[in-house]
Amino acid sequence: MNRQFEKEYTQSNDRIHPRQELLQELEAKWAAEQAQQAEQKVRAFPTWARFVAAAAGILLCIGVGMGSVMLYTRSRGLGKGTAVAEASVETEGAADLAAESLEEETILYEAEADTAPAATEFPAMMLAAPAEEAPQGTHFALDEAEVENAVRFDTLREDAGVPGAENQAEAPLAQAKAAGTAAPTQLPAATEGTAAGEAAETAAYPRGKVIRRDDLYAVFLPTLEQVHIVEYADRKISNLFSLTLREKGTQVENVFWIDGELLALRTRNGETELLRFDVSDWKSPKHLPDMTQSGTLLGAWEMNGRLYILSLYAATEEEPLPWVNGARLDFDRVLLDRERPGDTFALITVYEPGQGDDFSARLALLSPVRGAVETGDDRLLLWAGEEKTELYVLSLGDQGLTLASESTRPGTVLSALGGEGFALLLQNGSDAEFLTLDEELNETGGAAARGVGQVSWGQVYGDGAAVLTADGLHYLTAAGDRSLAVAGDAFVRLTDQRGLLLSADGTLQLVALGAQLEALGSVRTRNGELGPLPEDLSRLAFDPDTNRLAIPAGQNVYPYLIDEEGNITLRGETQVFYDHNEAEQRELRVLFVGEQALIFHKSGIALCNQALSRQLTSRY
Amino acid sequence: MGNGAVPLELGPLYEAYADMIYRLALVRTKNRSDAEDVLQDVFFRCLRRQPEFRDQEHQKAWLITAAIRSSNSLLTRADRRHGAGAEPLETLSTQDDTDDTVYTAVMGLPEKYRTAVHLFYYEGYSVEEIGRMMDTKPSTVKSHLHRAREALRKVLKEDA
Repeated sequence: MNRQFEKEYTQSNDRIHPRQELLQELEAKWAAEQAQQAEQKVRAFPTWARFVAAAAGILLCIGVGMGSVMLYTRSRGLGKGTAVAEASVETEGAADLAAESLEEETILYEAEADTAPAATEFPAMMLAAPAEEAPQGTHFALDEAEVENAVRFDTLREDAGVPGAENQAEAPLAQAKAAGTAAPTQLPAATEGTAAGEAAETAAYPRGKVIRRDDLYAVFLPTLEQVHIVEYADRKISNLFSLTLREKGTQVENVFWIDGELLALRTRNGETELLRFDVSDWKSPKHLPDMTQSGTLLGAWEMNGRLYILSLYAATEEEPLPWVNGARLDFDRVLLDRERPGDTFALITVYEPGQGDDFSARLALLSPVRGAVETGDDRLLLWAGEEKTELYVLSLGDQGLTLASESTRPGTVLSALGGEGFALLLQNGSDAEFLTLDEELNETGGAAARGVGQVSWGQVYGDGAAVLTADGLHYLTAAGDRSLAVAGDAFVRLTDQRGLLLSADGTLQLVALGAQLEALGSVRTRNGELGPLPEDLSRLAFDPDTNRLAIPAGQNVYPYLIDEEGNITLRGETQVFYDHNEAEQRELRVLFVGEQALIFHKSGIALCNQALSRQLTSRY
Repeated sequence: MGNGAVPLELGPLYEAYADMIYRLALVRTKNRSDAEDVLQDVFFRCLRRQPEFRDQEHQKAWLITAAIRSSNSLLTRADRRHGAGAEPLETLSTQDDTDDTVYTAVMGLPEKYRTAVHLFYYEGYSVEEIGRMMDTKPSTVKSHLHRAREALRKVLKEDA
């Protein structure tokens, strides 16, 4: 069928052309738009000119009071001052138009949104100009072990499908994306009472993030609240853009980079704020109006060029319904059982960069949602409840946000993963259960580890789930439960088939997952000669092809090599971090890029050779 | 744009890519007027931003991705306005005796399948490339193509 089909389909398409007059129409529209832009540029008054005009106005007053001979000359300054006032009025008019646009775009709530302020100039204090020349400094003394390719997994993701992101996808990065984007969102451990290990997997609270776009990398260092956009091309790095959000107060929790806009999310005073920065032109970035919605940020996802934001909102008598940009959600738009006891809403909004100030509230669930995970097929699974788990599948397609199916299961969700359907790991009494569900939430498979007690850490890996309990490590698949008698307090996935286990006794172990669950090799790390205990395994970089690890710890990065038997060998250590006085604020991340490695740290960005043994250059 | 690159202009851009974008937009929106809107949106967006392209392929992929985004927005808005999908496309204005059965069958598929089919069979992109353009996983694209083929097989068999 294929060849004949292709031929006939091609023939039909080849006969389709836009109208002949269309080019002339577009040229006319484009010319009109350019003329309008030119007019706006003339109207827009630069800040310095406002000062000049204001000063001129003051001088004029003085001039009038003194009856100065200079009156005539300075009265021309008053003319400028008047022009400023007119320009301001026109700017507010444009903001009204933006608000009208927001009203048009809003479908699920009454459009009473506050007038969106016009885009403002980027505050100079928040924008750090990239340094022309980087200071020197070499702090590396390792051997020349080869590292060709590696990934940092944590929340690393490659943004594909965005203009400018074509023709990418080094295999390891694509793999990292699959892990990163599929990672479920959970409430922070302190709130939900889940194991500490889970918090590191949240999408809402990433411990750093690297977004790749062609040769550009946006690096989010959450503790420092900094975002750097770095270009790495032809083995050179340059810092194009640095943004510090600290002046804004509350800590930013997640950052996205979509369609020329840098988007930062945080919770402040019980509200979720979306900070927007137009960075399509590095030379003149703009701070766009912030947007807000009620409730604390629970998670956010980028799909099809849109940002989906999920917040959790506890209603009060004064504010019984959630709102977006000040406009309350119409109760008719709230889904699910209105008679349900409780007053917590999960509010989902959608923001599409590059489309003006469209920040549409699409859906509110009258239910305290605890987590969410997306599939590659525009579906979002939400889970809620305490004694039992309520499951909701939302369709996020082009036709809007709708509830596709719902169901309940016993137990509470520990971890979830989206793929063709959904895979869930649940704690049900003293059992750990692994379930696979289709998009209608019908059960398609599963297994359970019975009587294992409280799960201290668990993670779904697609075809199975790894679970750490008091009696050891379990790996659950549809075929059953495999267990390994080890105890540990942290576990990190490296590939589909291997995991890195940090045991309670300070041993770092490589573990083969799946049917042959077994410890492959290990290295003692705590208080040993081979290196310190990694403080945060989620920060490590790993290359599954060459079996190389880089673990940031303290002031150093420790490169390890895993041999064919699975033994983990430390290959030295390298000091890359300089600021001892602010050690508690350090951010240290390693990203293997091709044959080299980028190390991001508080004092800047270092480009190193593949073995991390030599610093090639750095940017501050 | 920088590095002394030649600014993009509407005329040459239209000459090179209007047909491609219009055809893709038509497949997605099933509406000639909407397809024209998408075409305009994509070109204006490109002209405003003046992105730097590595080569022609990069430029083409950028425009396709922008067209997908633009038609997504348009379809969403159309859905809000009309409460349903876009109106169906009238039959192609055939000026010869070419059989449009296949094209009509493709247009009868769900929107995601149509896009995947068009980019795969007409534009010749790989599953991975389509995945990047549509911001979805290659496995999802494969699945869309598989389901589309199944549906087409059934429809075309019935027509035969």
